Amino acid sequence: MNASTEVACLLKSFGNMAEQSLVGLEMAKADGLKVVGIYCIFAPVEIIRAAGALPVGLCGKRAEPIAAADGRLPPGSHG
Amino acid sequence: MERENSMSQDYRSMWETLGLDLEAHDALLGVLGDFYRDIYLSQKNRPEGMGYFDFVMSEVHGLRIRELLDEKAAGRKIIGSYCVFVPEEIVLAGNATLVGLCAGADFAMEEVEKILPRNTCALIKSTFGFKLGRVCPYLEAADMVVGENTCDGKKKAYESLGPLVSNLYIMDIPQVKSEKGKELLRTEYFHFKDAVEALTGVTIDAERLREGIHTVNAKRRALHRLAGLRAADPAPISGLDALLANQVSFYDNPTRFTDAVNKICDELEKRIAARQGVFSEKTPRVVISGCPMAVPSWKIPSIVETSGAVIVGEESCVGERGVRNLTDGSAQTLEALMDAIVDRYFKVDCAIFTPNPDRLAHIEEMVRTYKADGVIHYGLMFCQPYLMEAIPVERALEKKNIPCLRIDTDYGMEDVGQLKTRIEAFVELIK
Ligand code: SF4
Ligand code: SF4
Repeated sequence: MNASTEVACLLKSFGNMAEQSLVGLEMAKADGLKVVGIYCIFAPVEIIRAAGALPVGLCGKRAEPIAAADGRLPPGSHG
Repeated sequence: MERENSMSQDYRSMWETLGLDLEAHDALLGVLGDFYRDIYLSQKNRPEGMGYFDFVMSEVHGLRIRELLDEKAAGRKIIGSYCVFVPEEIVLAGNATLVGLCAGADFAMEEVEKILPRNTCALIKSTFGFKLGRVCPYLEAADMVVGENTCDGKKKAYESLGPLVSNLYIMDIPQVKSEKGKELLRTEYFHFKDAVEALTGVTIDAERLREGIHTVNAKRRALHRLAGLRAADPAPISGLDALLANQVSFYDNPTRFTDAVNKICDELEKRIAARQGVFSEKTPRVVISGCPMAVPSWKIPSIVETSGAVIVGEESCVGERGVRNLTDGSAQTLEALMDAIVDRYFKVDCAIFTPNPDRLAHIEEMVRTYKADGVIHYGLMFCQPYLMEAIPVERALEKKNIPCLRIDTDYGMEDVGQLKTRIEAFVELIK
C-alpha cells in the first residue's frame, strides 16, 4: 500500500464515523461502561475517563432535527 | 413665552456642554414629544395626579438634568445603571444619585450595527444608539456607569461599551440561586460599595446605609400601594400611566417621586370609593410579563389599552420584579445591613437565573391578586433569557387555564398592525 492509498483508506474510515462510534458505544455499554454526554468543552473529559466512563459530545451537528424543536425554543437560538 | 425661550436656550447650552449632538437631540425630543402626546395625553379619565408625571416627562432632558448638574456642582456624584441589580441603597448611602440608562427607542441604528450584531435585542442596541448618537444627557452626566454581567447580550456588549465611555464599572452577577451564587453577589456588592466610596470620597457607615434603605423602601412602598389599588374593578388608573410611574422611578429624585406616587394613590382611593375608573367595569384585564419596558417603549401597552383591555400589572423590572421586595433596614451593623441588601436583591427573579421557578409563581400570584383574565408575555426579539422562558411559562399558565399570548417584538413600528390583530383576538378570547 503506498502512502496515498493509505491516506485514502484512513480518510474513508472517517466517512461513517458516526455509525462506527454508535457501534462502539453499544459495545462499551454492553461491557458495563458508563457513557457521559457533554455539551461543552468545559466538562473535563479527563475526570470522566479517569472514572472509567466514556465522554460523548452531544451538540447537534445536523440540521434535520431542528424542526422537531420548533415551538419549544425561540427561533434564532444558538445551540 | 419669553421665559420658555430663555429656558430652552439655557437647556441648549447645558446639552452642548454635556457634549450632546444638538440636532440629533432636537429630533429625538420632537419624536418623543409627539409620541407622548399621541399615546399619553390622548387617554381619557386620567387621574389628576398624572400631571406631575406629564411635567416630569416634558422636562426629562431639561429640568431633571439641570438638577443633576446642580447636584454635581455641589459635589454629589451621578451613577448610571442598566439593571435593577445595581443597589440604589448603596448609591444613596455614598451621597450619589442613581439614574437608569436603558433606552426604549431605536437611534443611530446604522452606527450601532457596526459595533453590535444585528440580532442583538432592541434594549441593548438602543442603549448603544443613544451613546453613539450622543443624545442621552443622563449617560453623559454620569460619573460612573455600572454594567452588570447578566444576560450574554449585555455582558458582551459592555466589552464594546467600555471604550466608548470613560467610567464603566463592571459588576459580576450570579446565574444560579445557590449559596455560592449568593456569596458571589455579596462579594460584588461589597466591592461596589468600595467603588462608590472611592468615587464620592464618602465612607458608607451603618447610619448612612440605613438612611439609603429607608429612602428606597419608601419608594417601593409607594409603588406597592399603587399596584395594590389596580386590583379594583373598574381599574382606577391605566396600565400606561402606571407603567409611566414605574419608568419615571428610574430618573426622578426618589423622595419627590415617592410623594407624587402617594398623592396619586390618595386620589385613586377616592376614585375607587366612588367606583370611578379609567375604563368601564368588567373591561378585560391583562398582566404584562417579560422584558423591561424603558421609556418610550409604550407600543404594547398602548395597543392593549386601545384594543378594549386594561393592564393591571407588570411582571417586569420596570414594574413588580424590580420593586416587589423590600430591604430589611432593622440591623445595627454595616455588615448586617449589607447582608440584608444582598438578601433582598438575591430574590430578584430575572430570567438570567437558571432555574427560575419564582418568576412563574409570581406571574400566577399577580394574576390572582389583580384579578387578571390573561397574561401577555412581552419578549424582545433576540433576548434569549426571556424568549426561552416564555415558552414554558406559557405552557404552565395554560395548564392552569390562564390564557397567555406570547409576543416577540422590538422597538420598531412595522409590526403594529399585526400585533393589533393578535391582541384584539386575545382580548376577545379572554372577555
Ligand atoms: S431583566 Fe434581568 S438583566 Fe434586565 S434589568 Fe431586570 S434583572 Fe437586570
Ligand atoms: S431584554 Fe433580554 S437580551 Fe436584552 S438586555 Fe434584557 S435580558 Fe438581555
